[in-house]
Amino acid sequence: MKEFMLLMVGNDAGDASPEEMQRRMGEYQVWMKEMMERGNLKTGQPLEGTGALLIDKDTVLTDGPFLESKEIIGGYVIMRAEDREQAIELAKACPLLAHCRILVRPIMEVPA
Amino acid sequence: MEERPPPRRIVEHLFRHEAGRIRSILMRLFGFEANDIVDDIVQETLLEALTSWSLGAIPANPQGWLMQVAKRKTINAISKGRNRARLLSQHAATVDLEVESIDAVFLEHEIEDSQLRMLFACCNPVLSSESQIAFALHTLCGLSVKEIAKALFVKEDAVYKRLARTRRCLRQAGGVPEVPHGADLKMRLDAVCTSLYLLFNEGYNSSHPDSLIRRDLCFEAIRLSAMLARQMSEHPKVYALLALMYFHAARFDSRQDDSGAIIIFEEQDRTRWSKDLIKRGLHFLARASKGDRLSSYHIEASIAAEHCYANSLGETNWVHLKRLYELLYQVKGSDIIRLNLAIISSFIEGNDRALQQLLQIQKKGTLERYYLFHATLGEFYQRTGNEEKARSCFEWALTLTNSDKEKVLLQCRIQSLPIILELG
Repeated sequence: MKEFMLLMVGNDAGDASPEEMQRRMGEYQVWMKEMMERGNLKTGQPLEGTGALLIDKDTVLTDGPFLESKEIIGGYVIMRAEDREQAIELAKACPLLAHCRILVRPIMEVPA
Repeated sequence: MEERPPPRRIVEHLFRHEAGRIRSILMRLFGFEANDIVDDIVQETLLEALTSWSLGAIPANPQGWLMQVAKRKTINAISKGRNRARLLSQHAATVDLEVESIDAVFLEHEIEDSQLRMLFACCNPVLSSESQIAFALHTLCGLSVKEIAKALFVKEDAVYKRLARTRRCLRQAGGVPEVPHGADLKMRLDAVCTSLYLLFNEGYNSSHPDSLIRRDLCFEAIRLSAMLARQMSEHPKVYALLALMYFHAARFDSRQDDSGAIIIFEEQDRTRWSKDLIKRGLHFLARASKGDRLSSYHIEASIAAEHCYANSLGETNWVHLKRLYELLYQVKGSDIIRLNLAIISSFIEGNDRALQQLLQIQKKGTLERYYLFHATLGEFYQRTGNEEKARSCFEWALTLTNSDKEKVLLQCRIQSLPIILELG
């Protein structure tokens, strides 16, 4: 099994109604539960909307959000999959895909 | 590897109801016109919950969490010079943007007060009942324009227009939402009850394929009435209204068969009536039995309770029901009540008597465009053996309803009549 990082990029719910957002959350929980039961989920966390952007030692932007909302990384998930194809298939089933983009990156294995 | 605990579940419609609460608070703060600022804060708050709760965990107190986030976003929003200047220029006299004041309106007991103010604002008689309902569904119940359009069978454009018109109207009527006092309160409370009952009926008296959202309207009306009753406990009529809604809602499951076709009252399976909702109805009816004023809601709730007491149609206490309807007629004086009285008298005095009463109502002509009147008249013509007249009544009723389900029901009645050959 390889590990992959999924980055949830952009958090635009558009004009989704409150009821619709709650429904989406329910769907996401189902996806996470399935991932967990099949042993594909390692961990995942949301990220706060603020923070800092360091351009160089003297240029530190802290007055966030400093990115366009479509570029904001809302959170990450670390999962386990056989290969890239399986990782992509698993990410495709993620309901968040309906309103954000998902970046799938293999985590490099560093030999001991 | 960390073990994630199973996710907490949140109550049904939490997002929607919290959106309504946040919106009520913000409209109290900012007045009716700052809709775009309010929309942004509500949407961003829920979005933050969506991201954080999905990828992280649902907090132990989701409502409190949402309120904290909404408060933070509100303070951020008004610290933007552009928003601040606009809010102050619009409502210089009424709006108070100090952080302490914002803290205060987000306190738990103030939230329900904001909702109550908003309810009174929505149910302002200067607004049409359509506008009142649309605005209440948006501001208090957290329904989107699209959902309101779907629930009320109107176009989204029409909902936008109603909401905008309502905001303009409320802005002209006076800055921020308030609960009236003294003699005004009594009058306005009547208007609020009427609007809530209209909202309930909007969901109840319609047979639409999408029955889920229709039921939602009924339960939203119940939720708001319960809030009103908590705040206005010295006004028994609100409890009576709440009881009435519960009794009606108890019959939801028995009113349609699995295919969605209407089941008429006499043929409803009473074991499918919700015992739980009937119990709640009886509880609130008992609480309504204080004071010396008998409202029409008291009588209507008693009528509904009477039906719920009877395990079968045959066990119904028709004599008692007739007395209640007579009382109701004295209070409301509507010919629809006379129509009901005619139906009840058929159980006491027979079908001929009922038919006579219906024909008397027909002479007045007030129910000429009411499909249920003609359907009922047809029913009694049929029962008294006048099939030809029954047919023409059903056919006329058919032209007066837009509901497909009601049309199917009437067509079934027509088909059950013997075929009369027309000699040309």
